[in-house]
Amino acid sequence: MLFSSLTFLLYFFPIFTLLYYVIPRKLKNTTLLIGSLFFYAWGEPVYILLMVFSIIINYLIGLKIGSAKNKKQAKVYLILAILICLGLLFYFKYFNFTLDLFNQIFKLNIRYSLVTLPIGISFYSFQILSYIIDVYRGKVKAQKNLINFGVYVSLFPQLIAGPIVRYKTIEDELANRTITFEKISNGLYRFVIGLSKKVLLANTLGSIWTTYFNSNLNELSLGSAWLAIICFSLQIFFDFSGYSDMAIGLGKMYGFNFLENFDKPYISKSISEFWRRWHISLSSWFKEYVYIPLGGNRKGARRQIINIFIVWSLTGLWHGASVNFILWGMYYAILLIIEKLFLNKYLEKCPNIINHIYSIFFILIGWLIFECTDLNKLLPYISAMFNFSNLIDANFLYVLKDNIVIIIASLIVCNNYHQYLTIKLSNNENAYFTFKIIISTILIGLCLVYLIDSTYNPFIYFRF
Amino acid sequence: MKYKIFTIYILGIFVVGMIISIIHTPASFSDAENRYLEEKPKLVVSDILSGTYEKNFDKYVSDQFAFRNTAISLKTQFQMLTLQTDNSRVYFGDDYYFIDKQGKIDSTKLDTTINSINALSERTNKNITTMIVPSSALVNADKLPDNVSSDRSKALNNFNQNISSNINNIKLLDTLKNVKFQSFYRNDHHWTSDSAYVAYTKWCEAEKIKPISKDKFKIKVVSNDFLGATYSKAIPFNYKKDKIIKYEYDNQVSLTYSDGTVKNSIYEESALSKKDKYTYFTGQNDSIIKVHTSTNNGKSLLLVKDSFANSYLSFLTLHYENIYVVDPRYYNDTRNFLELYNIDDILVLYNIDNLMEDDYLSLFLDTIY
Repeated sequence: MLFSSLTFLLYFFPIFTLLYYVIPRKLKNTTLLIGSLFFYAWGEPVYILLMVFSIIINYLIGLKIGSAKNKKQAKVYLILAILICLGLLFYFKYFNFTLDLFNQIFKLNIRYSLVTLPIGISFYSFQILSYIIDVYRGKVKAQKNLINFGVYVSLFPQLIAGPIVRYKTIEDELANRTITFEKISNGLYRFVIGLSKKVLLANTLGSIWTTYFNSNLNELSLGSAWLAIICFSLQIFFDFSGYSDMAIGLGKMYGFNFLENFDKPYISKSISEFWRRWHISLSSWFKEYVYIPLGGNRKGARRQIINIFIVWSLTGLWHGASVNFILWGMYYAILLIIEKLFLNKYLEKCPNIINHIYSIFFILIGWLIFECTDLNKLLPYISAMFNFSNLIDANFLYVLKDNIVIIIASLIVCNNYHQYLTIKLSNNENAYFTFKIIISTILIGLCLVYLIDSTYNPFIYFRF
Repeated sequence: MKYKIFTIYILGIFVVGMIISIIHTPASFSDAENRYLEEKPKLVVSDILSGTYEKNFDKYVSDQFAFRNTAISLKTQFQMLTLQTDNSRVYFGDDYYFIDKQGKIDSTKLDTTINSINALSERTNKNITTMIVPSSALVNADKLPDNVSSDRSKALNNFNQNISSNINNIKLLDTLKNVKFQSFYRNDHHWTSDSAYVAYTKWCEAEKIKPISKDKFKIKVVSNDFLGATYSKAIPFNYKKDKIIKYEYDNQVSLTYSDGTVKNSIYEESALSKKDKYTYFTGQNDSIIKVHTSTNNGKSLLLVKDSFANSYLSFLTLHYENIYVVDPRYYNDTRNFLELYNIDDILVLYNIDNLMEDDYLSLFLDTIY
């Protein structure tokens, strides 16, 4: 189920939430587990078996590691869990991709398997791994209660699109959490904001991008090329951070405190800063469980460069089974290395505006690589971005004018400039409360209207 | 206290939405969308396991939302507030014109159709005429938002340039652009009867016959409140209803529909009380309508057409004794058509938008001789 579907908003969400609040404390985790599994099963019921299997096997391994007599025995179980997690992830996500590469390189013709990607597998596999590794490292205790562990893995607010919640973040809350009206109302508000980012902004910006990206790139004007990639970078931000907002909001409503996942990434003044602000839960996961164990920056400059390459290739690959994602990861590895080696020194001396332009430029090019699952589109698109003989066309003027309000609103919201308004308001408690009530009502109404409209399909004169 | 109020109020919105959605009686057909709506899916285990049930349930919830049409209106209104001038289905044009937004231009189908028409003219000695009606976006370019231009003019040029010179090709774009009356409906993609009459005079010119002058017709307003297809694509709060007029002439016709029904009028009075009032002209599109008229000249016409011809047909009845009105989308009994019905003339009447997306016309033309 997706948060931005009417089935979720009008059925699952109200029914589950009310049920969750009235059910006695002892049964709340069971309710959450059943609700989450139902949520996950909606639309793809078969993969629920995979999830239940992962929960049980890793629960058992976790216990074994926790009770292991010595480090060696624990290590055996650790490796077993890692093999299972990564093995499943590889099979369901990367198997066909790998076959495809083999077929191309060795001119073979091995048949594909017919698996489809189970939703959320990249997220929950990483959550499980963080738990297992942390138990092994002795940072957390093994969870003795299967239901609590099941809740941690399947918790529906962050199941599909993150954030990747580390076990230690919610360890205490799994056993013991308080729910207050303050938390619920803050969570609700956060949820509404996230939903609006996704439905009102991301979807609209996304349709601009897809129209351009699927048009004839050789005829694309410079203005359109930039407009489109800017729209895409806003789209992916609102899509992703909107989902994180909804997850964090829902988490709050049910008594959990997840860590923030995005922190105004587009105000960054360098690429390193961008990655401290973008999808924080993923980059910190890789740092904690890959980069540092590989030696990080403690084993000399050469080793650090290799480590950065490994981590970023994997980060790229995590986003999808396609060559362009690996390229995208390497692209960032190179940029980060250049910054570390010498560029940072110069950037510090530059005025902020230059740093911003530098960062945004490379981030935009990055998103282009990210979107070019068909790599043949990359060069024509880049050349359109610098084709000064075709600056603007009528279509560019139309699309810009048609969407100017949405674009300006997006630019304001993505860097949180609207907070200046709310900070002023929040000094006056009553005014802030009224503001929140009004804005939530309008936003919920608009989201419903947009969602209904997206399925509106006048089929005049053809009755099938 | 504030937190409690906020919580109850916001959760209440979702709960009320759910209750409305549950108690709302599902409708099976949407007039505004002119399509059957998704019905509540049946709980079948295999459907649940394959995900079909869930997909259909999602569709059902959206299709059967109680205030669906109001929601579309609200979206249109919000878009207008945020200065947007289209909703990806229609442009919100000046003067309450709602004009179809067209997809990407792809001339492969059009090229095939042109070849088929040219081939037909080489294989038969019948008099072939083509009349490609431009779309509202082309004729009413001044009503479109700034910087929008319909690339359908390219398609129209393509047709005009590549159609064989053996064919009488009637060009209407400049004529319709310069008329003083309303050439297309505000709320529908079809042309008005006035435009059809002007096209008729152009056709007469090309066929070298004398048109029947306007004052010989009884021109009647048959409806004052037409809200057609392009209206339904936005359901705006503010609109201007369209007038439907007819050019009535004192001649007899009898129409035999494909299902055997015989009618003595081109006009379908019952359509005026329905949503889709353009079907006042000959009713719903039919695969073939055989028209016999009181024009006693023994001449037979094959009219291959889309719905734009429906309001044009009445003028043709003044010049032919028999007219075979074929909509190739629905008609497939094509062999020996020309001989079987003793056709003298062929008229291909299509709107450019439909023509570009049509596969059936060329199939039909390739097989009728």
